[in-house]
Order: sequence, then structure tokens, then C-alpha cells
Amino acid sequence: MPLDQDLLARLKRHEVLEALRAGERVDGRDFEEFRPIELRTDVISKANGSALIHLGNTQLVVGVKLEVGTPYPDTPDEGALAVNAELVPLADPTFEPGPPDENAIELSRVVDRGIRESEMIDLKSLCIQEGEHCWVTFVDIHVLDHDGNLFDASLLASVAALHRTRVPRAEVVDDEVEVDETETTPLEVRDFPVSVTLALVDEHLLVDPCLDEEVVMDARVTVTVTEEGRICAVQKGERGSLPEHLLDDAIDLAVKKAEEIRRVVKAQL
Amino acid sequence: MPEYELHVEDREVVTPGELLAEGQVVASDGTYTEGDRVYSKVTGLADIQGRTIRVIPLAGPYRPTPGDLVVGVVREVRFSTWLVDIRAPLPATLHVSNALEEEVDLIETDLSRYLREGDVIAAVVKEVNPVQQTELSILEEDAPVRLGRLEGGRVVDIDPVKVPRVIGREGSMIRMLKRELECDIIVGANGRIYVRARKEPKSRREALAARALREIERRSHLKGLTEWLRSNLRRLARW
Amino acid sequence: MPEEEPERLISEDGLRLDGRKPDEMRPIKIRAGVLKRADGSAYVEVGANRIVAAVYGPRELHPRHKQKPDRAVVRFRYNMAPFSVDERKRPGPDRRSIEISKLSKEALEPAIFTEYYPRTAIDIFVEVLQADAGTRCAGITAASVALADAGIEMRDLVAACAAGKVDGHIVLDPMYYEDGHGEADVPLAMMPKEGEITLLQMDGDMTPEELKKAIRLAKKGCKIIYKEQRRALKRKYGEEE
Repeated sequence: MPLDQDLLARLKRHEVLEALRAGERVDGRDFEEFRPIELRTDVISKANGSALIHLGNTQLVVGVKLEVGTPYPDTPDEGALAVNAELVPLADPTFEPGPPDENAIELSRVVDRGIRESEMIDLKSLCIQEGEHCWVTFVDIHVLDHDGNLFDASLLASVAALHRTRVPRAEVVDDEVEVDETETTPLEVRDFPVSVTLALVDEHLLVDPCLDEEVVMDARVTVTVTEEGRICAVQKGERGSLPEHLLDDAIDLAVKKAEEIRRVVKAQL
Repeated sequence: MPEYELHVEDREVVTPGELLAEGQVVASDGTYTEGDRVYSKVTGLADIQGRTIRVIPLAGPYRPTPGDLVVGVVREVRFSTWLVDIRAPLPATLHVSNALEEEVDLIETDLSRYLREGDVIAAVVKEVNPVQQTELSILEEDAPVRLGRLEGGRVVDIDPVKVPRVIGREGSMIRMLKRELECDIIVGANGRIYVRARKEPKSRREALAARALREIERRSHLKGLTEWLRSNLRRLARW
Repeated sequence: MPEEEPERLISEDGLRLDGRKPDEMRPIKIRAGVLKRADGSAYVEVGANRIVAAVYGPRELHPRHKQKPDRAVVRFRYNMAPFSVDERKRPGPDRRSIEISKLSKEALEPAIFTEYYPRTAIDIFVEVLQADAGTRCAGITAASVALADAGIEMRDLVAACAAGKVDGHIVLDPMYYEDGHGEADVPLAMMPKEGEITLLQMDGDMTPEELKKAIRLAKKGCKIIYKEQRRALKRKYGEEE
């Protein structure tokens, strides 16, 4: 039986707060410091694009699969995007098998909005035949080791995987789509959205919370920033509230950190 | 003389988060404080008595308080306790030591010999611990009514916050009902009311009592309710 | 809404398609205590949104292992009726409604003294009967009134309202057409007493400055809604503010 999250939180809270009072974080980082990021792409040859990320001890894989499908009636000249996250039991003692729960769904939808709203993928380039056939881009997030901040790790790995995704050649012959997997072109991407998650703990904003911080945090804010420094998605989560005066700080801090993180990740692509 | 300022009037309807007073006041039930500011935490009536301010809730669950007389329904018979529904968020327990004068051998005895599921009881709240576990007793000697199983009659549930209205000023409302309808009535602080007629036609008397209780619940904000109800009952109570 | 695609969503004289100014809300109507069986309830109209909220509890939580020894568990179910949108919605929860349910629960919890009700559940149900953009905000607004109507002890009410970006303008409370054709949407919930934010989402395209402006505007909307929430609760007991 895993230790109840609430019980764990009570035990951890003291430790985390002590550190904060001393001006430190429980793992020794500065308040605005993110953990080391290590990225490897093309780790799954069966996928059209993939990436494995380590964000500190947090580890997850994203695979991108392209499948031929039908365009949505309201966007007949566009391909589709579907993001899914699985919090599999091997990644954390509290994760349970079964269909995605509300945590997995929230995670996938925040990542989805980062990709979709930044318009990093030109969905029109994924149309094969207007109104009939298109590519559906499945982005599947598979968490392997949960040590906090799945939101940022997932978007980084997803964006990296999309940057490495290759689209097979597709041709319509007698109303049927013929796919040639041997002949591929890179997926057209035109942005590099980066999300920055901040944990609010005892009136402090902590960049890239680790699990110990997440179990005690009052609230969480994720701000997703495009290459131009514009904002394309925001999400507040968890049971606490966010004092008015910290919100502007959170936005400014996220914009600043997004640029740093993007630089670190791009250097590894 | 310490200063204070009131932001609401006595008997005003207030809502959660509403600022009631600032300064040197005594914040009582239904309020919470931040620094020297007093806020309401429920929808209710502001009640200001000198420097003491409280909010009387206009809705809400029954919150058991030690000493309350309640009418409960036995929900489950366990090894050494009965689990009793008292319309609070959680069921209360009645331990055998608070229910029976004599010693019983728990191994040998099935407690449903004394009280079984579905039995209606009058009980007193003996203790409420910080996590809202509520212990009942039916052995309190100074209780206002005979405690224990209530036989026959019927049970009417009303909104617990309306109980003071059913009782009336110094018991005037409930005395009037008992007299006009010739019924025994036990009003639980939990809004559960036990009614049993003393005379025939019993079921019609009890039905009329139930109707009257619902009228009180519905018209609790009206002035002169006791008189209004008395004249209506005299008109209806023709057996 | 317009039959033909309008060329612009904000006219030259700064008015929106439904004639509102950028910082103007749609008409709001709030009623407390509209259902008999529920412990608390509320009905909310914002524009053409029609929303009913009900609260049950605090009540014993089953199964027992889900109980929290030191507080109530708040549960929230946001549900859209099949007829609430243009194209019939398939009944039952989808990913969108599961996310909204989670965030709405988290938006209301900071306001509730959950520590007063250990081992219990407070169940909140929101039914969208007709949707016209901003249903999650209207749902939170309604749920908060229903909680107060149920007599649950709270630090404050929670008011919710969205701001958006339309034709480059930051506007308050986008309606259906603006939501579909605008550049960004920023739903926000707050406890107005202290200005604490309990829900914040954004999707679309904004500069950091635009986002801050939208947040300020949405908060202004929340304060208007807050007044209506309080009026609705007082009106139930025959008192107008």
C-alpha cells in the first residue's frame, strides 16, 4: 500500500518549509533554477518522431505517430492533432492502471494547448486530400519516473519529438491513400513553445517543482510561451489560491525562464 | 474605551465573506476573523448583542453539540455499539455502556435484542470529538424527555435551522401544538421531530401535526406565526 | 448570431457584435435555492448560458478509504446536456468536461472550510442546459451560490468570469461567436474579498502585457458577478441589498 499522498504531504511539508525559510529549496536549488535537462530524440524507431527527456529525476518518453484519417468537417483542409498522456503505475506508487484519470487528462490537455495554440504545426500541411484524407498526429506521453513537473517535461519532449517527426509520402490512388514509409519529409514546424510551471509554496514561487515540492504546494501555475515571447496557454491548478500580487510576477518569471530553457533544449536537438 | 465599527445591522441577512465588524468585538458562532476584522462564514442573520457578533445560519447541516436532545434512527447494530443516523454529516454511535444500565456479555448478546435497525430513539449528544465523531447516550438522568426507543407515532424531518421556530419563544409554539392536537411531540435539535397522538383519531391528529410542522418550516420568517397556526388548526381539527 | 461572417468583431466606434462595449458584461441573472431535494442549489444565466448547480452534503463518503481524516473531500461534476449546444453532444463525460470538473473543484476548494467536515464528501453537480461561451465560469459562479445556499461554511464566495482577445482588443465576458473567432480566452475565478485567484486558464495568443490586462478585466467582471451572487442569496430570504 503506497503511503497516502496527504500523509506524505504532512511529513514533507515541514522539511520543505524549513528550507524555504532558510532561503533554500529542499533539493538545494535557487527559487528560479530549473533542474538539468537531458534530451534524446529518435529513441523509438517505430514512431514517426520521438524523444526521451530527463528533467532532474523525472523521466518520460513521447512518441509521435502519424495515421491517415478523415479531416474534421469544420476544417476540411487541415490535419488533426491528438495528445494523450498515460500515468502508468511503474512511474509512481500512487499511479493506478486503468483509463486516464483527471490528472492524466489535465496534463494532456495543457500540452495539447501548448502545441495547438502556438500553431507550431501547420495543420494545413497535414491535409492529404481536402475533405477526404489527412494525417492525424498522435502525440503520446508515457511517464516513466515521476519526480515532479510532468507538465514542462511533457511539453518539452513533445515539441522535441515533433521537431524530429518525419511525414511519410502519401498519395491518393483511386480514392485510396497509399503511404510510402520509405520516403519521408520533415514535419513542418514553425515554433518552439516552452511551458514554465511554478509551484506556489508558502507565498514563494518555485520554478520547476520537484515531487517533494509538488506534494506540499498550495497552487500551481503553468505558463506556455512561444519563441517570440508571447503567451499561448496558462493553467492554474491545485486546491489553493494565488494571491493577486504574485500573478504578474509569475508571468514575467515564466517568460524569462522559458527563453533559458528553450536555449538549453535546442542545443540538444 | 476600545474602538469598533459595525458594517451590518442586527438581523441583516449576510453571506460568506461579508465584512461584519472591525475592531474590538467578540466574534462568535458563524464568523471568522482576520486580524481585527470579523467576517461571516455562512449565509445567515447577523445577531449583534453589545460587542458580541454572531451569524445565525439560515441553512445548513445539523452540527451536533454536547447536550443536544436529538431524535435518531438506528442504522446498524454492531458488536458493542449502534450506529445512529442523526442527520449530521456523519452517523453517531451509541455505545452499550451509554445505553444499558446492566452489564451485558457482548460475546453472548446480540444487541438487536435491545435496539434494532430502523428503531427511532430519543438521545442526548454526550460528546463530539475534534474529528466530528459523535457519541450519544440514552442514560442521561436530567434529560427533558424520556430517552430511548420511541414506539408508534411518526417522525417528521424539517430543516435543522428552523428548530428554534418550531419551539417558539419560551416554548410557546410547541406548547400550543401539543395542546391543540393532543399529541406528544419531541423536537430533536437535529430537526427530526417525533409526534404521537394521545387520543383518537390518532393518525389524523399526527398527520395534522406533520402538516403544521411543515407550515412552520415554510413560513418561519413570518411574524405572528403561532396565532395564525392556532386559528388554522382549530378550523381543521374537527374530528 | 450573425448569419454571414462579419469582417470585424469590433466596430469602428469600438462596439462588439452584440452592441456591448469591450469592458461590458452580458446580462446576468442568479437565483439561489431553485431545487427542492438538493441541500443547496442555484440557477445562473449569463447571456444565453443556462446553468443549474446543486450541492449535496457534507455527507458520509463511501468508499471509506477515500475519506480524509482531517477534511471533507470536494467532488465536482460538470456536465453538458446533449441539447445544450448546436450539434447534439454525446451524453456523458468527455476529456474536456473531466478537466473542467477538476479545475472547478480546485477553484472552489480554497473558499470552503473543508477542515470542519472531516471524513465527509461535499458533492457539487453543475448541469449546463444551454451553452453560450463561458460555461465553466458560470458553472463555478452557480456552484458557489449553491454551496452558500447549502449552509456550508466558507471564507468567501467564488465568482468567475472570462476575458478574451478579439480583433486585438481585450474584451470582458466573450460570447459564443467571439469565443470561436477571437484570438484568446482567459477564464478566471477569484475570491473577491482578498482578490485571491482560484482558477486561471488561457489559450490563444497574447503578449504578457495583454494577458495581464485581460486578468485585470476578468477580475473586474468577477466583482460585478460577486454582487449578483450576494444579492441572489439575500433575495432568497426576502432581503434586497
